[in-house]
Amino acid sequence: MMPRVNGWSGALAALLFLVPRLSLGADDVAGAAQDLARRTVVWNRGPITVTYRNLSSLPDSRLTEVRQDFEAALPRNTDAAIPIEARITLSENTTDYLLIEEARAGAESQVWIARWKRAARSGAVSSPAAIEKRLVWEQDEPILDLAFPGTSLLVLSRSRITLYAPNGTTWQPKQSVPLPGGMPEPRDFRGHLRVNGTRLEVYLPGVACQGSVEPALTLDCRAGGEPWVLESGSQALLLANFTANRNYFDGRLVLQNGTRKSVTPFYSAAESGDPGNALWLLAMADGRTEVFDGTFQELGTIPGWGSDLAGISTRCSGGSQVLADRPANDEPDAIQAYSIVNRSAVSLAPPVTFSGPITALWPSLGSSAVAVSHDLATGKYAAYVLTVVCGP
Amino acid sequence: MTFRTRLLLILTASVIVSVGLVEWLVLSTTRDAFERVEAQRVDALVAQFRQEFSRRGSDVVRAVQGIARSDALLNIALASDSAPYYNEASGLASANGLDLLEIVAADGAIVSSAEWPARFGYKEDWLAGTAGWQNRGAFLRREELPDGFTLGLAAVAEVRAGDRTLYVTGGQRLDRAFLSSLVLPAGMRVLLYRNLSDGVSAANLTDSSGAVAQPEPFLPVIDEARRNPHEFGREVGSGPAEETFHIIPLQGLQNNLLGVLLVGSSRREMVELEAFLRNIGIILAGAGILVGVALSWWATTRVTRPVHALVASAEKVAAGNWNATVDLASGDEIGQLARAFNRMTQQLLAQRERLVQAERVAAWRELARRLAHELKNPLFPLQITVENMQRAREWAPEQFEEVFREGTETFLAEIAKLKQIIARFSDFAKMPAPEMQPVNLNQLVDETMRLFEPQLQEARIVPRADLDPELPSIPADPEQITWVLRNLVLNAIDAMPQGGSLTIRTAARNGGVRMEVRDTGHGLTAEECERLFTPYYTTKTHGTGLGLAIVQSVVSDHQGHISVESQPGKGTAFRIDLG
Amino acid sequence: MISLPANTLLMCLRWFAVLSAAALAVAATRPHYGGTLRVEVAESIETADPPQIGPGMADLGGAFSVTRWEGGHAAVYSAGESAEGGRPFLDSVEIQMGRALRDQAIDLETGKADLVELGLAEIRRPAPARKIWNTAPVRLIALSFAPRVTDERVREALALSVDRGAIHSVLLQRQGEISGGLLPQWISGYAFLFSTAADPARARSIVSGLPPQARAVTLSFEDPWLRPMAERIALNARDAGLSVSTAGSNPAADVRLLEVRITASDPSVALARTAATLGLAEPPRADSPEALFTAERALLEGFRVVPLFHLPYFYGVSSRVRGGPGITPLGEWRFENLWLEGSRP
Repeated sequence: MMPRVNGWSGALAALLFLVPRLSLGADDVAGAAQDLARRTVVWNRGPITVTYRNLSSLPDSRLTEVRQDFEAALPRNTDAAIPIEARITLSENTTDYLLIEEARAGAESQVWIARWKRAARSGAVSSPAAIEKRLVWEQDEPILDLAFPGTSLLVLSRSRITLYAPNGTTWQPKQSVPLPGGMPEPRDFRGHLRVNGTRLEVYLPGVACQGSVEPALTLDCRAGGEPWVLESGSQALLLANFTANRNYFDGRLVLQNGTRKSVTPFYSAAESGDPGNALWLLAMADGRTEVFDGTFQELGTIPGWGSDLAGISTRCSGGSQVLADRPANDEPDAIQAYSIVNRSAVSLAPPVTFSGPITALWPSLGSSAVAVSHDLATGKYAAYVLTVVCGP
Repeated sequence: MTFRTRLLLILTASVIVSVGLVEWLVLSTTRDAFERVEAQRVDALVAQFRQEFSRRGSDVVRAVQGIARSDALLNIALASDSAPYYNEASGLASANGLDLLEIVAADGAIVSSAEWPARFGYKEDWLAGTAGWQNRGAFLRREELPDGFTLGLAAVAEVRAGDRTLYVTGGQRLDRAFLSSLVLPAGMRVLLYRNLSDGVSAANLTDSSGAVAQPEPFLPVIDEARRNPHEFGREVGSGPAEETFHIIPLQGLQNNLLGVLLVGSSRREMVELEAFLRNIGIILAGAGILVGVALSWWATTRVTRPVHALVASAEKVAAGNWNATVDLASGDEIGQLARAFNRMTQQLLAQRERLVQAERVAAWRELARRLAHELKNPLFPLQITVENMQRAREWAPEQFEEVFREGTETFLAEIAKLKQIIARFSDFAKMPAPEMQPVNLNQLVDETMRLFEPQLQEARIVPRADLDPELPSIPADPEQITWVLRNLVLNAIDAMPQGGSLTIRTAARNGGVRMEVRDTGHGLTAEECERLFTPYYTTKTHGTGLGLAIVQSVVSDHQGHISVESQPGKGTAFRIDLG
Repeated sequence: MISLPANTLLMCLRWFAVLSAAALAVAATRPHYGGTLRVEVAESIETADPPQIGPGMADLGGAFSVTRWEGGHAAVYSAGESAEGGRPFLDSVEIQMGRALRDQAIDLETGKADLVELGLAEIRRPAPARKIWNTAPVRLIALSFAPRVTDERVREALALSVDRGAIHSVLLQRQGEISGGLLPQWISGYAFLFSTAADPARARSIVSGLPPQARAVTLSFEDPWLRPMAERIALNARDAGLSVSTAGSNPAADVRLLEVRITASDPSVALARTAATLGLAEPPRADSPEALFTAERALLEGFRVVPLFHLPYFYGVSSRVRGGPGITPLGEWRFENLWLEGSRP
């Protein structure tokens, strides 16, 4: 049961309304497809067999549009001429998107190229950035997540949630509320905090809590399978159901547009890319990192990432980027920032290392993330804020 | 050849043969001994070389296995993508002292190649399956390089990481550097022929210095090894440069001939020692021979001096000086021989005296007998005639006149015969010495033939003259020689009453001349030939029987020789050698 | 409670979100003024004066000015106070010329340099503290035949024999892209139209019809780092029946393996410049991608030039350098926004 879904979709819609929509530039893919179709027909009116492929950074949904526009522009009746085999490629250069048709009819072949202008891109194909790592909190008990309501610090631990007030360069505990007992206690206990103003949401395996930090820290928890809200960067959201007695999400998703999707279980999710052309990356439970398009159609995999992903929004190359840790869990870990270009991960900056494995990685405030590592030497758990810094 | 010379030669030959035989025995024994020692040395060197070669092989195996066990190879085996390691082999090879190193994936694709980095991805199919390299240790392989083929001493090791397999094949090139790195004893060298092409090519033969300077002598040996791969020995070169080579075929995994090793041991020392010994032997033998010859000469001189004396005396005796004696006082056999010679000559002298006396007596008796015989012949008719005259006067006076007349004629005829006999005898007795001058016999023959031409014609005798145009002139008395010729011609005419042919030949012979007068008359028996030149011996019904004796006397006075050849019914030939 | 119209409320919320994001952005680290960026390059520019054109030092001319020039050795550029867009954060840029790539990488890792050029070997070597900037694929690696190679069959056979895939996977470690065109895909958008597949069977068939003396080809490479590639090409050609011998710089070689830099992002300009560098005919001005494709295809007919790969340039950057990237996709230097961590004005 998900009693908050309807209200949740309304909130999503509001968020969508609140966030300014980004301009995608001039979009004349239809005109390009029609131009190609017209030239094809002029050349040969025979029956045509077409294959399509996408070599551009545009999503495959654009390719579907190309197909529809192209085939719609073809005449219904063809002469009994030599059949045509054609391949249409969606490509791009620095200034234009290109639609390229390679047609062959018998011994003859032709190439036509149609184009339309694209928005100016930022300079670098890969925008190197630097990850700044700032230690925020350290304690013996496992830290599940951090949040910064206002100027305070909220620490979600294994057994409690504690509010800290700043005291110079340190934090002073202000208030602590224990987490309810009787919760499922899977190994690798995970939890997530979301703070919106003074409102507080805590997600735990099989338990969802709501509360506030002002005037006092309060928490109201209920058992149930309420989906967790997974943010990525400053704009993307995803609802995912967490398996109560496990450490992963069971694969049931609700997308930002309200669509329900189902994938195989995963540990974490992050979004990358430009709005409208964004890709979702999921660290699956089988160890792979899958890449999905906006409609959660599987596009490929990215090798060499761990199970913790966090989407952040930086200004280095526009859109969102991904922080990912390493696959190993029993050695000092590292987190690296990536852009996803042509469905491949391009490193933005050298990794930042930790003194132990990463036990939690959550986006925070859009352009940063919270990373918790377990120091193998001291046994303590340390929480850091990771910020990706690039040029202004 | 004199006795001294013969004796000297015999002694010298004996010395030479003896010394030569000893020298040969010494040299051959020494050579055999040297050969045995040399063979043992070569065997030891070859064994040492094999050991060295084997050690190098073990080094290669060790190095390859070390590389296979290294972390670097483990990392490559475990890596999901081997592309980053394409240049790994080069560093591993140089660090481990290998010229050749390839890291090969389980499917035979080259991951990294030190000797040919560009060959990554190419297949080494021989590694997979049962290629025979397992448990072989080091083996020979033909390796392809960018600039051609080479031979390598290689080993293979396997790397297993879970279910992943890698092969490491490495080795060292068998080239000039490899050969020069081998530790070899002095006087030994190794040549390597790399069997990389069809046919034998001198370019494939190298030694530690590079290309062999004079490869021609080795090519037949290599060809033999290629046609019949087996180990054998061969000498190459001559003189001090001669070397004993042990030929070792090098075979690869499939027992194919990849190369030929020629392990050579210089025979210079042995050859030089042999030559030294031979030279010493020759010098000693020569000295020995010289000494022997000198001794032989002295010995022969000593030995043959009395013999020479004997010979000289014998020659004197042979020359007619029967008074020659040998003056030797030694008591040995030569002395005995000399004394016996002297006794012999004295006896010969005495005998000759007696013989001469006896011959003289016999000759006088013979002459007297013949003269008596000759004289007696006319006396009998005289006696008969006188008796006939007496009988007629007494008994038939009427016939006395006729008888007296016939008788007186007979008296006168017989008295003429007696006069002739006495004249001939007187001629024979007082034959003058020849007056020598250069005479051409051909001219005398021509004159004689012309003189007797009518007579020959009347007698129906065909004259033939076979004269040598190159007949030299000889010193002779032309009148006497002419008298001889005429005598012989007359005899020939007398021998052919029915006619025939008369042939006179002249020919140069042994520095002198020969003249032959041949007829086709009734011939002579052997007894007649024997007595032909005896005075007063004649086969004719007329004549004094002194003609041929005089001919013989003339020929003898000319220092010549006359002989007769005849057979009854086949004619007679008189041969006269003069000059 | 004040009652606001709904649309006004929504607009406020929208701007609140924007301002929040902006505020969060302001909370990021601010650039520091001061410091000297130490740069090392392999090229040794022997001119008496600093270069005025071309990617590299010439790009510093706007925000920086030359204060010391030692041709072939070193140069120092100092920040201009009145530079457009404001004084650069850096005080100066020191450039060491003629440094080998390996030495540059060592200097970066030992802290003696801040920005160095990286070759493929240096890229492969792990260096966790190093970050990398790379350009777009602007380095064209191609085979260029000498005019005396008049038999087109020889050129075609060699072109068909090259196995680009293996070279890209192993020698280039999958950096850059396989290319059959003069312009890279990111500039032209149609580079994939040019075939890059090897056809060894057809190459062998062509070679079998060549006279023996025509099958021997000499291949030279200008830069030592191209040697492994040249040797691999020679090996591919040998499989096709050609006898290719490789050598370093040899002006008399039949074919050269060379590197040409793409110096413009405008496809038409880039094609013209590249053609000129390679000695090809000047392509006609193209006003559309299709015309440009036709022009480029015409340049490549006859196999006078055989494009093989497009590679980016790689730069190693020390951890103290912030504000990047300082290299544009074309490889131009943009140091005006760089700053150094730990520096003080």
